[in-house]
Amino acid sequence: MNTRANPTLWTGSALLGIVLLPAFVTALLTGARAPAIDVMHRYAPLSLSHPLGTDPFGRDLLTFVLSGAFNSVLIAAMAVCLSTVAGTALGLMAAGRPPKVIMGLADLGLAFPPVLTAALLVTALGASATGEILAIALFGLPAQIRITRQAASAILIQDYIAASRLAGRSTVSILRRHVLPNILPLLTVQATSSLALAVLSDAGLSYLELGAPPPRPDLGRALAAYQIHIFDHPLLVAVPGLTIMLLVLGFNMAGDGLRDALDAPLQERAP
Amino acid sequence: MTPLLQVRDLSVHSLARPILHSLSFTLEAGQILAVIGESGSGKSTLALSLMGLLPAGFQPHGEIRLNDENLLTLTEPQWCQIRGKTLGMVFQEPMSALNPTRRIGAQIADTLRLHTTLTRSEIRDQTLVLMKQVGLLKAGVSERAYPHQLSGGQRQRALLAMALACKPALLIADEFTTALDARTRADMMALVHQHTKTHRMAVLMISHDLGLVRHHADHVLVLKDGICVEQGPTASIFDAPAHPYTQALLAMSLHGAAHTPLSRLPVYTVPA
Repeated sequence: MNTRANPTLWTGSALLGIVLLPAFVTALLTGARAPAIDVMHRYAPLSLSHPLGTDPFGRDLLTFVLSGAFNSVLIAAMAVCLSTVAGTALGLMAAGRPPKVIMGLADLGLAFPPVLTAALLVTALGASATGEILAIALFGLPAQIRITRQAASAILIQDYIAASRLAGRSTVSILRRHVLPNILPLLTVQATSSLALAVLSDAGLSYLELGAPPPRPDLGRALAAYQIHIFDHPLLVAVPGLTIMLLVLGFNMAGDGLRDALDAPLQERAP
Repeated sequence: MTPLLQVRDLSVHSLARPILHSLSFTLEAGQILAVIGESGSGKSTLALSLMGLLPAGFQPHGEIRLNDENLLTLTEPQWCQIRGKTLGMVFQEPMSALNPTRRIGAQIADTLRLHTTLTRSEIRDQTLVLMKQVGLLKAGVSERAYPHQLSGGQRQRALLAMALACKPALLIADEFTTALDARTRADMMALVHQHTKTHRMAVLMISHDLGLVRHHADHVLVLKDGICVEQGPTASIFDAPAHPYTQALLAMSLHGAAHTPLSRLPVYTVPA
């Protein structure tokens, strides 16, 4: 993997590091729970004990936002894991065959408005982290199936797949041994870029009250709750907003950088 | 003694269009049968039917008996058991028949790993023996090399090593020497020949190189539009071809086709 002279990858990683390192430390120290309510110190200004001040409940804004970022990335990561594993499995099953049931369902998924899907899931499961993870995973699933099928189909027509069949390998074994390792770089890039979308979806769903319920610290919910303070206490809106932006930008740039680092040598290596 | 391979009335249809017409032949262990004919005559379809790898939509009828077992009735898991073990195949295109992301040694070892109960170190030793046999070690190719580090000839040697790994009873060689230089071609054919002697391996060889066929094959089968127009011992086919198509084919390939204007070449069509 060529990671030298890849400013996009490094910038993306740096942006993620700025948010995620303190977020992980905070989560370790506080368990990513909301800081204690302290009505005596509502809307406190910046100080040493509250570096970014406090919110309308007197909670430390920095701790709140960092815990929110941790929760958001955790949900995004679980959703992306789910959609990557399920999408890859379904995509591999559909690869090398005419589009039938699986691709039909994927197309149906693409035609369904994501927010409507989320609203349906929340109605069915109640507002919870599980429902949110399922909803975000469902947004990503059709694209993941399409990408996997496309890439795997391109590998399946190669002569070395025929050679492998001649050696006595079964289809499942060929998919595992030959196809999966060949499309792994693509899947890694796709997963990293999907994280950006997943963080954004998490923020969007929480903003619409379709995400995990309070008191779990959440960036989208903070934006929704504090937007009325945009003129009198701008930090309350700016900090969660900027955090979301840094995360999305970071995952996107890391994804692009990974694409450059992983794809290029593979193309050079191909005969 | 029953022959190793018995093909009886093999027909293959694709969308009701016949590709092969009731083909019948036998092949004894240790013998080389060459299938010749122009492009599109059904040679590769024959090879794919024998391997059970006909593309979707191709329907085979008749009987292919290998060691007295009808291959056309096998299920896919049963095919996986005999492909690579009893049946080996090498084909024409060595440049794309190896996985670019896996090492040569691992790919050669694959057949052994799938069909034998050898331990990891025994498989490694056996792989090195195979690489030595096909002349890869002599050429300085390491088992840890990737396909892109090998020349076309070396890749074809690696593919032959993969096909010979389990000492198959029948090797199907679909124009596998076409992309090779004369020296490598001779080396590879010598190796295949040696296997027919030492392991009684039978070879079904598909080739356009009639010089090679004449030199190595024991029997020849001539295909034209999916029909076997003539078959017999190599010497009799080459010395006294009975069928006009065989005569034309031999005349074009062996006796200065370059000097004969295309318009004067005899055109023969097989009656339906």
